[in-house]
Amino acid sequence: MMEGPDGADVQFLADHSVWIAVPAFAPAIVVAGVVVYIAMKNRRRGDADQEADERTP
Amino acid sequence: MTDPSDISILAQSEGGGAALNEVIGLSAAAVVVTIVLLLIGWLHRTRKITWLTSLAEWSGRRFKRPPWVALPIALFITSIICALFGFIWDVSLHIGNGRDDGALANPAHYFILIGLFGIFVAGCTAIVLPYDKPGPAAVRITDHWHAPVGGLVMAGCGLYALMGFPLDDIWHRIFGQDVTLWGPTHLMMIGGAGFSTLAAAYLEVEGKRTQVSDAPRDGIFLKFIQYLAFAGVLIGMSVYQIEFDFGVAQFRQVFQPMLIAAAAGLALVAARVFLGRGAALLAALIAIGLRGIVAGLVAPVLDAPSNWFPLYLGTALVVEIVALTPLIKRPVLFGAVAGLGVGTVGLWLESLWINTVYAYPWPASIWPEALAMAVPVAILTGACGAMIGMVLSGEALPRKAIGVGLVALTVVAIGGAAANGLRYEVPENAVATITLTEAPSNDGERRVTADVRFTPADLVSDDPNWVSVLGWQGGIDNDSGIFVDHLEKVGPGQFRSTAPMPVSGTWKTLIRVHDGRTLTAVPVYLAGDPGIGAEEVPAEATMTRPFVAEITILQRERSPDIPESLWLIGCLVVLACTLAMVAGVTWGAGRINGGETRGTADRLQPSAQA
Repeated sequence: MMEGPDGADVQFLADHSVWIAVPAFAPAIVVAGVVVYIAMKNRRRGDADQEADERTP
Repeated sequence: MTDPSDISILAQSEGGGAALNEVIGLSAAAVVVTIVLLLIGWLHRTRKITWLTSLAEWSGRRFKRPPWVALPIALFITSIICALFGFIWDVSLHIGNGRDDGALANPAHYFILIGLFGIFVAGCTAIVLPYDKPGPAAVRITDHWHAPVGGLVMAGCGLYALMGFPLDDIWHRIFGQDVTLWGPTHLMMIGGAGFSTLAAAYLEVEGKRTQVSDAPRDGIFLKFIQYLAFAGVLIGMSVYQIEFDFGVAQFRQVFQPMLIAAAAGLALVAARVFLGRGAALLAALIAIGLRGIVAGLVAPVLDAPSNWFPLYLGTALVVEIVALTPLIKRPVLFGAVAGLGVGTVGLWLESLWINTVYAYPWPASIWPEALAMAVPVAILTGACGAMIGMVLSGEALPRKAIGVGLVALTVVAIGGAAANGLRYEVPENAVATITLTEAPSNDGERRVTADVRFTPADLVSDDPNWVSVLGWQGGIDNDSGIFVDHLEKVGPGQFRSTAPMPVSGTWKTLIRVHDGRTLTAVPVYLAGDPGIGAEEVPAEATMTRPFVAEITILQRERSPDIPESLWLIGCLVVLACTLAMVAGVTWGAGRINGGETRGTADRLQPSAQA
């Protein structure tokens, strides 16, 4: 990709710069995502349990 | 226009080679940080480690708070001060040096990144720590894991601020680099940090509620921390004014009083309602101390451009005086009335300080529009500040519709005032004839004084906001890279400089005219900038140049010819993120208040307060 001073080089720098920005927030997104996932899973299971309880009086 | 070969030179000379190392290093660091955070959280929740509990309990004993409050708040205070320092230093470096050579070329960025990430981690610590349900308002994560509202809001604010990094990068790629603080994505980073101070206050209150009533009383140090919190909120709400503080405001001056009134209304009223008599003044004094230390570190110690800051003593005095009346018993009304005072008398008192030290004092002509913008905003932020104070002191809020309505109205009022502030006019067919006289220079730089004639001669009124020379980005080593000189009026439409301006090297020197709605400038000397394909604009002995929109000179890095629709979409994305954050902060307040007053809902007649 670094063949010389042409358009491809521009692309290369742009690619770099977004990769520099990603590490700045990726850990935060992943951690937040995991917490939300755990909470959603628990809630869905909670709802399912409740429905099961309602079906078996 | 930029041509591709120019950009590829930029790619090679300004960051092509080093970037790969930076990417690998940062990505590795990000993976390690993610794994470590998740691992510690998992080990703690499954009780496989005890050191986190021990550490939190130790700080809990030290600060007389529950462990899940003490440790996160200690982490939060450290992080936010780190971010504040990095932020002020970063702005001053950009003013002195212009844009960066790369994300990691600027040492201030490390402080900002670590500080913002620390805010997020502090929030997560509060979420992960408690084994027992932390107070009645806590949010259920699983059946055996509840998170404090303050922790969630803090992590959310941190996340919002950190989202600014990738969005900022995308923004710069589409629109070009904008060397201004008020880039929408920059506002996300500073706003997220600013509003996270409220989350810290939420967390503190949740902690207090779970403590038994015979808990030891707070000593002087812990009392100080509480006032410090509101100094933090005050500084947090003042981050939007920083361009004015450095004397390089790129927007109409009428924004400044509005922003001061808004910040004072929210933070000082909240402090007074929550902490009682004298709290507004004490918060303002501590904020002066904090801003003073940071400004002192940045300017005299690190030799970067200096900045002033509003004292907020006048506005605090107004809040304290209004609080002496019986109004204080009806907090929301008190907040609104105090806001009215802040937006009028308070602003006038602040103007005494602004007019003494700031590079650009307020002219008398600013007041009609300044009051029209500041008064409604200050009344509403005062009411919101009162509601924050009520949440923190456990008083029942007005009915949900009223509370949410007030917050929504505040957002609309600030939006309306900002929309008005952003409107400016560039005079058509106006030119400046500039005659330069060489001045002696002792550092090898070319310096000149100027005689300036405007055509038409009545371009500016008798009391303009400013007719001045601004030189910036001259390099931190050259007089900190900033130069401001107010031109002296010598006749109708004729002005002359009072000090020699720099017109060589990397300086960008221009004559700025701001008079009411008119905001315009004429370039005197602009250094050539091959990185963006901009040619040098030389300072000639005699020149006649047209007035243009200031933004085309101050922000030459911006890409021209971007379709309006793309700009609109970009702004809407940032707006959506911002409204989500405000909604989150409001939700947190309502949730804490609901949790507190659920059992005593009929203690007060809420509608009577609004």
